[in-house]
Amino acid sequence: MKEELELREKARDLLEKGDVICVIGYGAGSTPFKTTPVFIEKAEDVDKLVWNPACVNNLAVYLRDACSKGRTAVVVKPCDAKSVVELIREKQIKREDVVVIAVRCPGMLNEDALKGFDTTDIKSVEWRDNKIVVKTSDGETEIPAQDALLNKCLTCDLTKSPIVDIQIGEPFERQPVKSEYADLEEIEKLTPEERRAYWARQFARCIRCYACRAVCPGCYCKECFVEKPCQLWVMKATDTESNWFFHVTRAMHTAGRCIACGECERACPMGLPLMKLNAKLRKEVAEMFREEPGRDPEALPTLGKFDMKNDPDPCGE
Amino acid sequence: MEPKVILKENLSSWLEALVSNYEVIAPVTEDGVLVFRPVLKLSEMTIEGTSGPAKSLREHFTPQTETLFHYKLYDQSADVAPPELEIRDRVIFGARACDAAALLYVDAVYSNVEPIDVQYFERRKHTHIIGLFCDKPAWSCFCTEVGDFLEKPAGMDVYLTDLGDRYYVEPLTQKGEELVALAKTQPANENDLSLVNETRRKALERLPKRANHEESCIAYDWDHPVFVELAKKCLSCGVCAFTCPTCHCFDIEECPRGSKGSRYRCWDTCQFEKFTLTGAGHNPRETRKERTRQRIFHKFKYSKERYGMLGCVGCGRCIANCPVNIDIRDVIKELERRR
Amino acid sequence: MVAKTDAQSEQDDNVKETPAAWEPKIIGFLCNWCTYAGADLAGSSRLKYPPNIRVVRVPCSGRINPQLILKAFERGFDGVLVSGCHPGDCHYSKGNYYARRRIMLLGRMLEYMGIERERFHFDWISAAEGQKFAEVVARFTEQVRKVGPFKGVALRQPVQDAGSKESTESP
Repeated sequence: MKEELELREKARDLLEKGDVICVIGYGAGSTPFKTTPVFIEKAEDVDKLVWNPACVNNLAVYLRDACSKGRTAVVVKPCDAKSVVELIREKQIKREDVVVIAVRCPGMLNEDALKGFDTTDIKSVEWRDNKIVVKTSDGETEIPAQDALLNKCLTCDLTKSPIVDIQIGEPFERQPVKSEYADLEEIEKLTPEERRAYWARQFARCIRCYACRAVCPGCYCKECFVEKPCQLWVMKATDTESNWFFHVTRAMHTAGRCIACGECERACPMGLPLMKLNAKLRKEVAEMFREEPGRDPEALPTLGKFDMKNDPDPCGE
Repeated sequence: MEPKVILKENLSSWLEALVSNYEVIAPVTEDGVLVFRPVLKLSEMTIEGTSGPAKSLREHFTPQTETLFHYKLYDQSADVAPPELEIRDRVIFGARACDAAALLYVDAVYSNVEPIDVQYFERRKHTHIIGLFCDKPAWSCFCTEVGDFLEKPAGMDVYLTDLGDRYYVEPLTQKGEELVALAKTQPANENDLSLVNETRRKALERLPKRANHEESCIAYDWDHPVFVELAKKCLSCGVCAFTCPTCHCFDIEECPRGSKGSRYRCWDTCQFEKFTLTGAGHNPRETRKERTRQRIFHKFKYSKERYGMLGCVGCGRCIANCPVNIDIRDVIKELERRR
Repeated sequence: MVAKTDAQSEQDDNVKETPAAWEPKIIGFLCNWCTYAGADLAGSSRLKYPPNIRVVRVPCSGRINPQLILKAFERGFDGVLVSGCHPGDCHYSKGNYYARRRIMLLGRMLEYMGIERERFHFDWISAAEGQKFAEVVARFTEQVRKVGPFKGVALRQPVQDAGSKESTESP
């Protein structure tokens, strides 16, 4: 498709001119409905780059390491670009060390939508109008966007990428189908005891694999709080209380910094609804401090500053 | 061991009979995730239309977190008490061939050391497995590449095959016969047998042919460039190891509560950066190149060398769950290409 | 499945007590320069307030890591009080402004996780407000007493034993 070709051209250009030492993008996965991160260092390898509804990863997670080695280009969707903004904002990478290639994004495939298919027989997944087309050996099936796309795509209102050096294709006009905070209502209508029961049931399943932490571009601490000597903050054991502590703390640590890429929830092998935690804090940060991460690379971190006059006060002072 | 057939409408009563004699652990869908939990009724189970659970059977033998002993501290002494092992006789219903075969590997690992892992083997002794043939292998399944157990199950007492309105029931052990005796069955006839063969054939069509990794893995190249490539995209997240049925590494930690407490063990993985970090600060597997290499070599080369069998049963969980789509099948292909 | 232990016998005081004898366990994170001094003043003024509160003195409310509060609830405290200098009066000039953002956010999170709002109190108490300190503690203790014993973040008593049966099964 034409974005793919344009992407390869631009990548080839950047590498041939020596503008970057590496282009981080998506390559064909081990099955047609998946992609895998690729690190293109030679111009002749650019044909490995693809662009399709399976380009779900947030590649910004690789930038800290990559940019420390030299100027790096990264292929992003507008949501991932917010991660790049946050990394610059937190001084983890320098603006001049990254080349942001933003590609037209009609939305990414939710693998759950493939449940009714024989996954050994999927030939390709493509965009067509407001649908995802799944081709099998029997023909093709069209799935409407609201049933095919990731939850975050349905709530996305980003047309223009918040940071861009090279734009591939016209930015896709996004119309959110529902609010990002719609899923919070399900929990906010419960009584406190019901809420605790809900979360306890979720956290009981957690296996503390820390995949959520590993895929998050915002989790880059050299020594995470769970790795402190002598289990300073939380036991390594997977009792529900320790799991609770891990997830609530991680949510608080990413508060004001989480840009809702949803990778944590996607990576979780046990189906924990992690975005319900992050969305809650995003909502509170937006309401209480009128801030939204991922927009302004110059802004101070939300919890690293304060507004003397306007911040909500427990005593109304 | 005569094969039998059980009508699906009689499955409920079989389950009731099992439940009254054993703790029955079966696949259950919880918030959209398939897990193995104790059940009391057929209606709790999700037995149709799936390939296998999110986690393997491992947690039922090597629990994610397990007490090793308790202690009470006094002025000049301490009391140390072993944990009470309360292991009921139990039946795992609906296990997949790969998961059952994997247990034989873990048996080999844990028998290879002194002292014997008492807790693990107690659980093994008290557990009986009723397996289920995978009639719809997933895109990530490749058990037939590394073993024959899909057709010739290992580590199971009974093997069921779904024939539509009934199950083909093959008792494989003496215990299997006992378990099947609790069910209302009828002898299998030729029709059943041909349908079984048809079902098996259809499933096998979707799966790869048997390879000879047992031989080729011995000569895997330590310096193969594939690990440099993997190191770039692997995030050391640990999902592959934690969902793997043959992984068995654990960490040991304390649960102190003032002057008393306990020591426990919990799952750990060589994929975590700090797994091999020593007190002196040296880390022999400092980068992902070393760690990804360790995983692949352990599953294939080291397992073959140490235990005479591969440490991978082709369940495909690592492939399906890896957030960056690292596919062990492709890695093995690369390793064998460069021989 | 997993080893059942004698954790049942090694129970928290909270659990052993009969409902009638239960006393709220409250922890207070008080900043050294204002609230702690205010508490001192309450003491030297011989003002009475309930003894349920255990005080943890911190140099500034800005030092309060949300994890401290989460830990308190994880381990079974019935109520948590956080107090520091009034905005504008911080001994370190800005510490309480940072605390205000952080703790207000945490308060919303706690509620979302199902911890009753009545169990968490955030206030400003100065060194001169000994009377206020006594009143706030008395009021908060009664508030927590009314809402009852905290049944744990996972709706059960905090785990005594990492590997016990209770700790790996969902409630």
